[in-house]
Amino acid sequence: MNALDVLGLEKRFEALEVLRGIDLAVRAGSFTALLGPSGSGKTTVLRILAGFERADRGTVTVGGTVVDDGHRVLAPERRRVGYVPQEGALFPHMTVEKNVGFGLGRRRDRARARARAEELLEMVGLPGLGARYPHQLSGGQQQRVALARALAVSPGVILLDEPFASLDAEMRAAVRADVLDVLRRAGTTTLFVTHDQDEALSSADQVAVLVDGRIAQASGPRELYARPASPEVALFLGAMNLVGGTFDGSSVRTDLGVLDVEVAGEGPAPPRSGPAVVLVRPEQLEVTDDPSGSPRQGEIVRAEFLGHDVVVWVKADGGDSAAPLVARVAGNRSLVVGDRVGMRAEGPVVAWAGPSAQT
Amino acid sequence: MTITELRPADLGRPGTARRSKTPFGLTTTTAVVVTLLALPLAFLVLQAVQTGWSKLQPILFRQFTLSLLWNTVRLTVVVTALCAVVGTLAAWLVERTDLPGRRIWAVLLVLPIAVPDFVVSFGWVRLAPGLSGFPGAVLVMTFAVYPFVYLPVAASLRRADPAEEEVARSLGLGPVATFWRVTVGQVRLAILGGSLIVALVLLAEYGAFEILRYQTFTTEIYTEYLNFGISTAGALSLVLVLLSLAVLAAEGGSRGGGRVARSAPMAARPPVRHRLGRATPLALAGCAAVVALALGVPFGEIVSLLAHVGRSSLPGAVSVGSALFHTVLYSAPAGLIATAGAVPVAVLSLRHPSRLSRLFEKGSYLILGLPGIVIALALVYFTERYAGGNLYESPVLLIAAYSLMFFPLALVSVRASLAQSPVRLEEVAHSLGRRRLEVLRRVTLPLVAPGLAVGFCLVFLEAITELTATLVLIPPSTETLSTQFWAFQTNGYYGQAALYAAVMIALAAVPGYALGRWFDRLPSVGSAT
Repeated sequence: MNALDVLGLEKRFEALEVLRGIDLAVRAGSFTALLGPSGSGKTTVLRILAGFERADRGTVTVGGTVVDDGHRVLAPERRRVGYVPQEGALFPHMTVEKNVGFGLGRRRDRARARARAEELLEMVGLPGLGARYPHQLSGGQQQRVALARALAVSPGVILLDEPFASLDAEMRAAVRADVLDVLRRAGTTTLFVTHDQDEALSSADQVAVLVDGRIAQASGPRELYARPASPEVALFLGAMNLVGGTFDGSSVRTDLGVLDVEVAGEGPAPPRSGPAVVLVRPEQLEVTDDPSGSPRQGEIVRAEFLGHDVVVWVKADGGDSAAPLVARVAGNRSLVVGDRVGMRAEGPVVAWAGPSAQT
Repeated sequence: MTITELRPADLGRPGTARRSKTPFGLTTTTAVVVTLLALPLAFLVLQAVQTGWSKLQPILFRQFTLSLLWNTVRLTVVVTALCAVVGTLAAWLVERTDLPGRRIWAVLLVLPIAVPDFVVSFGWVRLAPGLSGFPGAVLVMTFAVYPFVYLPVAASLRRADPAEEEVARSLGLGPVATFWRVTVGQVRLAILGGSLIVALVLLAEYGAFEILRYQTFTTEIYTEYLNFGISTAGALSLVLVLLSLAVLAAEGGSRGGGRVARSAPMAARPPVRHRLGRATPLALAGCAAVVALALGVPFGEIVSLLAHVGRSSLPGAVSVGSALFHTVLYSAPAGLIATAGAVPVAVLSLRHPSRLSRLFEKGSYLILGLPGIVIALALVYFTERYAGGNLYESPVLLIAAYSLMFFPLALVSVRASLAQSPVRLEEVAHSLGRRRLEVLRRVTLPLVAPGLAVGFCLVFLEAITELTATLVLIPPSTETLSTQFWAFQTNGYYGQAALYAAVMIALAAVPGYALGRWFDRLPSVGSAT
C-alpha cells in the first residue's frame, strides 16, 4: 500500500504556474527524494502535503485518507504528516525535551511524554540533552532534535525540506547517514526535498525528478541514472554530453561513431530509425592523442585534475555553437589545455527520439 | 528563560506566510477591534451630519482655521524631521560606535519617554518664561518625543547585517557616505515607523502646547468644546483626521513598494563598532545635550520648585497616594486591553496578508492622531445611546478610552515582535497535531512576549499622562496624577504641581527603564517592518 499518493497536483501563485500536474506515489516505509533545481516548486509540493498551502487542483491522499482534493482540505494538525523544515525550526523558548514532547498527549501523561521524549532522543543519538535549549546545540544536533520531535507523534509520512542544506559539507554526510538510519529503524515513510543529485541518488529508494512543474521521472536511483527518461532528466543528473544522431536499427549513428542503443527494461523501446538525441556519459567518451584516427577532432579548452582521473572539456572542430564535450580519463594521462585530440564514444548508450533539426 | 536566548540564527527566516485560509474567529475578532477603533470617527461624522454643512462652513472656512492649519502642519513637519534626525543619530551612536558609556546612554536616551510631554514644557517654561510659540513648541516636543524614533531605530540597527556596511566601505565609500547610503537605508522602515508615531502624537498633543501657549487644532478643539460644545470642536476634529490621513499616506508613500531584503536571515554576528576617535568628545557632548535638554531641564525645575515650596503647603501623602492609585488603576488595565487587542490585528496583518488586513492595520493608526477629548466624547455618546448612559463617569469608560487612544502603540510593538517570529515554528506546531489556539498559546505568544511587554509599557506610559479624556471621563471625586498636576499648574501652584510631576515621572520611570533595558538586550524586538 502507498503511504502517500499525489494525483494531478496543480498550484499557481497569481500569474506564476508552479505545479502543473504532479503525480507521485510513495510506498509505505520507503524513502523518496524529490529532486529538482532551485525554484522548481519542490518546497511548494511539501507545503501542500503538510497542509500549509492548498492545492488548486488534484488530490493528495495520506494513508488512504484524502487530505486535499482541491476543494476541501484537512487541517495540518489532523493529517498525521510530520514536517521538518530546513533549519529544524525548534521552538527557541522550550528545552529539547519540551520540543520533542510538544506533540505528545495532554498534561496528565507528563511522565509518559517525558519517557517517550528521552527514548526518542536516544534513538537520534542525543541521550541526556533534554534539558538544553536549542541555541545550545550544534546545527546537526538541532536537525536531529527536529526529527525526534516529528517522529514523536508517529506520523504516517514524514516530510523533510532540504534537511541537510544548512549544514556544512563535512557534517552533512555524517548527519545524513544518522538521520537515514533513524528513519529506517523507525520504519517511517519519508519524502525529502533536495536539489543535490548526489544526495538524492545516494540515499533514496526512489528519486522523483521535478522539472517544469511536473514529475519527469520517478524511479530507483540506479534505474534513474542508467536510463533517464528524457534529455532534461539526464542533464539534471550531472555533467553529461547530449549529441545528435540518427537511429539505424539497434544502433545509432553519431559524429562520435556508430553506437549500440541500450534496450530499456521498461518504457517504450527506442525507435529503429529517425533523428536521435544520444546521451554519452563522460566515462564513455574516449579521448585519444591521435586526432587523425578518430571520428571527431577537437581541442582541449579546460581540464580539471582530480587525482585518480582527469575531467577534460573538448571543443569539437566545426561544431559552431555546440557546448564542449566532457570526458573523464585516467589521471595518469598528461592532457593540458590547448592539446589537439581525437574523440570516439563507446556504447551502449541511451538515446531518445530527437527533433529532426538536431544533427 | 532569559530573553537573550532568542537567537535569531537558530530560527530561520521570519516573515509572512500564506496559510491555507484565514480563520473566521481571527477575522471576526479583528473586525470587532477595528470597529471599536472606528467609533470616534463614526461619532465625528454623525456630529457633522447633525450640525449640517451650512453651519460647518463658516467654522471651517475662516482665517482662523487656516492659521491653526499652518501652526499644526509646520510644527508636525519640523518636529518629526528633527526627531528622525536626533533619534537616528543617537541610536547609531549607541548601537554602532565605540561611544564611551553606551549602556548608560542606552537607558538615559530612552528615559525621556517616561517624562510626560506637558511636564517637559512645564519645566522649560519655568526655566525660561519667555519660551513660547513655535520655537518653544519645536524645542520641547522634539526632546519629549524623539524616543519614539530612537527605540525602533536602535532595535533595527541591532539586527541589521553589518556586512553591508563593510561591503560599502570596500567599494570605496567613506564613513559618511556609508552612513547615508547603507545604514540609513537599512533602518529606513524603522525611521519611518517611528516618525509616523511622532507625527500622530504631535497632532493629538494638548497639555504641552497649552502650557507653551501654542495653538494647534487639538488645543483649539478643547477650547471650542469648553466654550461652544461639540459641534465646532467636531468639525475641527474632522480636519485633524484629514491631517492624520495625510501623515499615513506620506508614510505609506515613502515606504515604497519593495520590501527590505536581507542577505542573511538576521545578523549572525555582533556589528563591528565604528571608532569615533577624535569625534568622541563631540558625540559625548551631543548625547549629554540631548539628555540634559530632555531630562535635565524638567528634573532640575521640579527639584528646585519642590525645594522652594514649603513642606506644609504640599498636598498630603493620602491625596498623592490616592491619585497614584487611581492612575495605576486606570492605566494598567488599558495597557493590558490594548496589547491583547493588538494580537489579533497583528496576526491577521502578518500571517494572512490581504488588502483587507492591511486596511485594518493601517486604519487603526488613525486613532492616535485624534485628541483625547474626541475619543472621550465619542464613548460617552455611544454608551449613552446604546448602554443607557450607565457607564458614564465609571472607570470602565476611562479605561476603554485609554485602550483605544493608545492602541496603535501596542500594535506597533506586537507587530514588530511577531514579524521577527518565524512562521515556520507555527507550521511545525500545527503539523505536530496542535490546533490554532493552542499554537497561539504555546508557541506564538511566548515568542512575542517581549513585544507584548513593550506594548503594555508604551500604552501604560502614555495613559499615565493623558489629560483631556481623563478630565472628561474621570469618575466623580477621584483624581489622577495628571489631573492633579493640571489643576495645580493651571492655578499657579507650581510647587504642588511639581510634586505630582515627580510622582508621575517616578511611576513612568519603571516601565521606561524596562524599555531601555529590553531594547538594550534584545535583538529580536524591533521596528515596524
